[in-house]
Amino acid sequence: MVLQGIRTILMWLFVTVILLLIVLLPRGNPQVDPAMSRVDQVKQYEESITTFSWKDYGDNISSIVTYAWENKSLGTTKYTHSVEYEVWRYVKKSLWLIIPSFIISAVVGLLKGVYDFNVKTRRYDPLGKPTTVFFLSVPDFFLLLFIQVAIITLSSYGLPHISLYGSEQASNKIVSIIFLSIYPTFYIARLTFASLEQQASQDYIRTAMSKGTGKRKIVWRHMLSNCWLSIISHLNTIMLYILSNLFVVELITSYRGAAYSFYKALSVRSTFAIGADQSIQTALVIEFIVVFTTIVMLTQIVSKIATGIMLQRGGMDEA
Amino acid sequence: MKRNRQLKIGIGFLVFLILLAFVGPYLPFVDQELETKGMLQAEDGEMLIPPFPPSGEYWFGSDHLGRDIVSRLIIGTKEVLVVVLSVVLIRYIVAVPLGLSSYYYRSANRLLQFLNQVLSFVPVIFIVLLLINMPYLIYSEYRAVWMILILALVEVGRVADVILKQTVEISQKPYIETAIVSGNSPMQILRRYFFPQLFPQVAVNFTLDISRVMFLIGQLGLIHVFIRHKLESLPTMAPAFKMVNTSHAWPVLFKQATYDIFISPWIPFSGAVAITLFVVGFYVLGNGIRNYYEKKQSYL
Repeated sequence: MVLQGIRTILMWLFVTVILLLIVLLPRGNPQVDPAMSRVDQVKQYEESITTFSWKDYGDNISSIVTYAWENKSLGTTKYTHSVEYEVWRYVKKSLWLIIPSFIISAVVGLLKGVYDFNVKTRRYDPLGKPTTVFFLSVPDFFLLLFIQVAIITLSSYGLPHISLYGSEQASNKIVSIIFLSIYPTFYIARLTFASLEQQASQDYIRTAMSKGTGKRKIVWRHMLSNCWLSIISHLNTIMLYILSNLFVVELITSYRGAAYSFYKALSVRSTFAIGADQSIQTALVIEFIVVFTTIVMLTQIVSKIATGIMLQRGGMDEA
Repeated sequence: MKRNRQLKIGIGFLVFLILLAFVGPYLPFVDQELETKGMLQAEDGEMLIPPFPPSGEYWFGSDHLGRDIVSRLIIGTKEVLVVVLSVVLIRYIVAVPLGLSSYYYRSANRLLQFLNQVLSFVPVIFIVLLLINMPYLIYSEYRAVWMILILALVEVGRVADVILKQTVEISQKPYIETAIVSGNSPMQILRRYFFPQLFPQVAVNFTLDISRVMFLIGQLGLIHVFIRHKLESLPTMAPAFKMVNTSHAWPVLFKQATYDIFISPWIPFSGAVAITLFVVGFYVLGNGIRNYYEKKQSYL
């Protein structure tokens, strides 16, 4: 287990370094000679911005490393805060979304999967598997837009005002958490259902039933303890999905969090003059990358530890 | 096929989509030129400025330039289909050989595992965002091609892994042993015994992947990452450029979604509806194909 942990950390280090090397790729020298004609200026600009030079690349890397080494910081942002302060401020806000939606999708998803399994023999139960399939196939951004429009429209018919945009109020957080956890919840639900279904025909179930164990106890005690492993192995996928979707949700709900400011720090202007630099806010981007990959790494380590505990306990379950 | 409703709906949807892409633009109610309108006079004499809300003339309303959204959606269908299909095709052209060879060769297997471990640290949108803002890509004439390649290659590892697992599962079945005993060469085994079993599974995953890619492209549209753009010169003193969207692909309707949602919700909404239908349609088709083959196998 310790070995696996070390391997995960080494892998994390490798991936982060690769990503940072991509970010630090040189973005060219934007200077143009204003004495030249417009056409020549454009030509020179385009060429100097798209030609790759190893020297620039080396300079880029060495300057940021030496700066970080000497100042123990990556500098200040355009709002004159230190980069670390700003990153932490936004990450804190985003963690308020990431952690609850992660927990909600795991717990509610599990319950939903068990529910789907329990009602699968009923002829008509719209709350059962059909809902799960619905939420898995319909893109969640459609639901997101739909809910937003519905709330805005309904508020003119007397629905109390619900703040949908921003990050200050509790309702902003709640709405964003719901948006973020829709898809992962049903993903886990389908996983749990499939895992339960797989075991339904196994012999130990028949044994348990012949000994007079109630259905509820069979499902919760015996079958679920065999499901944990497959659910835990998908926690990483869930986290990746939440982080991906965080960009969409934060942008649509104007929630100023880590994904939003990462997006802003990374984007280049869509209108630019010749001579303007194409640079991004490298320091911010670097730290956000480290934070995001660290979140994924922590998820992986937690799921590795959980798997280890499960495997150790093995067949010695008290039941 | 008798009781397979999902397959019927899925195939119906596919036919509809292809017709829409190729015949749709010539339908009488489609405005092929996508005429822009500055103003419109309502029946009671009131002047309207675009975007026009949905009405008898504009079924889904119009965009900010007064262009009919239904026409935009229909004209954009072909582009959407081409982009999504090429992403998935490229992905499978790389992933199927990779998955199969990692069953036969240990080095390919190592490569695949490594690739998947690396990608298990980074969300897909993350990689796309990192690469797309490079000046090399912004200026490249082939930006759309690069975008498609990036979208295709980010998930090659996942697809190859699925194919590897399916191959391993097939290889454990008894009839493979029979094939070996009866003197088939490895190539023959692959062709006669693996492919017929693998093909339906690949077909199902391929269809489901089409739906996933559309989903991803929709998400990217919401965060203003589009497949195509053009640099247009601005009439300013100092030379300047603007990135302009010339495409009519559906996600482009999301361009101002956060702003449109208050005053003209029909614009992002009709894009979302089109994308949702596409995603659900291929999802249903994929499940239909799966049911078709599963049933066939159980009758054997």
